[in-house]
Amino acid sequence: MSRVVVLGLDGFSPELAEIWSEDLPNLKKLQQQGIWGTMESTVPPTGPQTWTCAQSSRNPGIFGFWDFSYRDDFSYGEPRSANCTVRDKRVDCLHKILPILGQKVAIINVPLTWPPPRIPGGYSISSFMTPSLDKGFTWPESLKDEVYHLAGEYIIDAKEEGVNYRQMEKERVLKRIYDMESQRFTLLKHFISNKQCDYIFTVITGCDRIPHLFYHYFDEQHRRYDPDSRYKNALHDYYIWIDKQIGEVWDSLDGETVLFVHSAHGVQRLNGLINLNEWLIQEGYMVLNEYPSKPAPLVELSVDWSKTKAWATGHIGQVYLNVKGREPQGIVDPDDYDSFMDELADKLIQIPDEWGDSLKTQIFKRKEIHSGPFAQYGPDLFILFDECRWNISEMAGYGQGSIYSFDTPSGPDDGADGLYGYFCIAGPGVPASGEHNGAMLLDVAPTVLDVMDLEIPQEMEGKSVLGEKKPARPSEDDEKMRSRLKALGY
Amino acid sequence: MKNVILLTIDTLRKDVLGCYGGESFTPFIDSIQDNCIRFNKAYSPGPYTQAAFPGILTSSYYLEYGRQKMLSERRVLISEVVKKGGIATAGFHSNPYISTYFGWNRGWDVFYDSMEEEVNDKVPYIKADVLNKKVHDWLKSCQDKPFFLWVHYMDVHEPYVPEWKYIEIVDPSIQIDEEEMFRLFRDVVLKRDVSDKEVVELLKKLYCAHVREIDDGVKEFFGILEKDNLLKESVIIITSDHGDEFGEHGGLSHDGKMYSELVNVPLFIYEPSREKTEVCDILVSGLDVPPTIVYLFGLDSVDAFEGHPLIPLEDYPTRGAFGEAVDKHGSREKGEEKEVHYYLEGDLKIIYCETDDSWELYDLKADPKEVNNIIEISSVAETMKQKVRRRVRRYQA
Repeated sequence: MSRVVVLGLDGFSPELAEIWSEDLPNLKKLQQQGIWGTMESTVPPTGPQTWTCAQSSRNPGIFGFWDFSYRDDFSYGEPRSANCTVRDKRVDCLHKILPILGQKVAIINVPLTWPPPRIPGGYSISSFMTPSLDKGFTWPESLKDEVYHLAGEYIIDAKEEGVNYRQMEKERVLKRIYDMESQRFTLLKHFISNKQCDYIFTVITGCDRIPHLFYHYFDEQHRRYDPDSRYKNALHDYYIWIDKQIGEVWDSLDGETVLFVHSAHGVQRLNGLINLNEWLIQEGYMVLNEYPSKPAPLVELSVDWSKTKAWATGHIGQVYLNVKGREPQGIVDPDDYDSFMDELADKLIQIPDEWGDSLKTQIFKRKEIHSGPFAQYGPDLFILFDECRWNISEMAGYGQGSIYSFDTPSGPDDGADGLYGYFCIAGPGVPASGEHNGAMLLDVAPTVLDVMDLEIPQEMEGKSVLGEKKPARPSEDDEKMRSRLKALGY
Repeated sequence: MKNVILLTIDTLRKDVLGCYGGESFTPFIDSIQDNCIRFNKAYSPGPYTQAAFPGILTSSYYLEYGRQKMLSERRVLISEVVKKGGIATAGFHSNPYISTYFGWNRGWDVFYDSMEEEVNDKVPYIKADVLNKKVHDWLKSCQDKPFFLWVHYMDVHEPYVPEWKYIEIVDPSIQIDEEEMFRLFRDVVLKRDVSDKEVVELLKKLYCAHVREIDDGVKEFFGILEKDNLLKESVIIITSDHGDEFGEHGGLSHDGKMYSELVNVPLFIYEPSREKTEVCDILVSGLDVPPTIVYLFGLDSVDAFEGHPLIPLEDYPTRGAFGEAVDKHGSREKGEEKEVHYYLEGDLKIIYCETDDSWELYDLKADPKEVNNIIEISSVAETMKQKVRRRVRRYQA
């Protein structure tokens, strides 16, 4: 029975890891000693639900989040913000499952953990959704003194008071991300060395933030590629730094602990945004009482719901149908639901990029990918344009028929979340079986339980990546060992 | 080339052996001394099995490679080195902490750890006589020469429930039955209760009966080698992983303490061609065992090994000896992995205990029982502290 340290690297990309593999010796070493590969994320591959899917091995329909905002009625729009309290009522993540099984747990900077979960006998340090340090960010509360002692002024997020990280000066935000993640690694190593936890889960957000900010300095195909910038190597250097940190974490582990590194999604070049509501208006599926004078989000649009058949939200591509008897002013007849969805899908697939080329659009019907008590409130369609290299904007007012835009509402963005993340697991009991195909984000929780020799609950939807590869160690052996040692006085 | 046999005896204090000046509970071991190099200053790198055996079998320190119960893949076992050298390897023992379960079976062609056997609470291991039979069977079947054989006896380890005939040898006046011996183990040894000096003395005698018993086990083993004409063909290294405490420093058994009764261990190298005892007063360490075996087999030295070959003696460097462990009571660790360290140089021994951040310094020549702490008055205290300080928490962030 091994202990586990899970290092969540938010948007760590398997492609970049491969391109730069010679510069990432620690990751290479880990791969040689364990199992690794790409890890398919959830649809959509973004937002706080990805970490929940990983930690609960349940699909978003079980807990009703598919992005940062959600609805749990049939209102127009997504009025609620995904939050820890609601999530923890609806689904059991490892930080809730493991303490019940007698395991000592610590979680550091895990998205969607504010207020900090009160883990029995364990520890939590909340994540970037923490409103402010004064409002409490640790469990037990006294843990904050240890955090301050080790980290100094603790940085919850790269953003600064009132300034989104996309709008910060590059040098400043880069330094701040390094400072922030250095603190996380210091805390992680402190927990490994001093807290005797059975399970520690830390998320490093910089792996997501840095590409969002610095991708265009490195990628020649990026619309805003800047070859002469001093930030040309910023992303590369950050990967090297992360690799060094992984090496230090690995070296600090005892021989009973498994290290499991994984990302929640990949990262890639963001080509642009499809203004999806603008397109719905153009196609006559959405009708406004008044077209806005400047781009405005859905909540500010004056929509004539009695004439609207569909609307879009989010930034990846969530489309809701306005269904009669479901939404307050629904007009799509439930009998026509499927045929209308097919019609819409056929047209969405034909949206080209700005040069007229195919976007290789993938369309997922909700009922095909999400199931559970809260699935019904979710979008009817999820649309991935060019494997997410094109996101969407839900704003309208760019000008009639203007369906492309290039800046996100919060500023210029370089990176897009990708459907395929990365994983690598190594340590005692993990065979050195090399590259593994077909791993999913939902496999994370079962894998952790498997490594810890704990029973995997039946309702979990993923399976352990150790699969049949895990060397069997019957619990009879554990029992025998315990009784022998006890008889010797240990 | 000769076979190399490593004979380790769990929990064997040095000072109970006749040849080290103890009472005559080890007539056989004493009788083979003419063929031995006898090390007076052999120090185990740790005061209990888990802390000592990384030294004896991998020539590395306990706290390295991240502390662990499971043997780190990154440690190199002497068996792996010897096997790679094309030499047959076999290990026989009955100590759970160094079993297959914890990964110690690497590199052995044959590895017997007894974990499949049923044992009872009074004797929770396979004793030497049974182990010797298994070793004998293997010797008969082993066609490869030379071979590397490791045998580890548990018979001295608590619970102190020796056979009656050995108690009689140690002290015929003792009146005690098995149940009472076992009760003393439960109520006194496990609780580390040293309040009743007479009971502690009785426990020590029972322990000595165990020692007398294992001396017979070693004798039987040598008899097997002799009978199979192997004794003349073998170099035998005999040592112990740690000693045992009987109230010398306020405790019983072997926890995370670094005093002589636990870390100054017996060490002999039996060479059949030798005719006279060579007594060695050089400070040596359990970490020296693997490099010595490598030397005896004429294999290339191993970079990962931190010890030094004991042979030839004249090439052995003058150096200090380190030891490290985690402060514990039985299997329960005190605090959060609090470290204990010692460093020995010449006659000076410094001990650091992280639990209470305390330092002790002893002059072993003037104060062999380690009762007069001279840390405050010694002029070399700071120099000695420096040696240890850089090792505390060195493998952690």
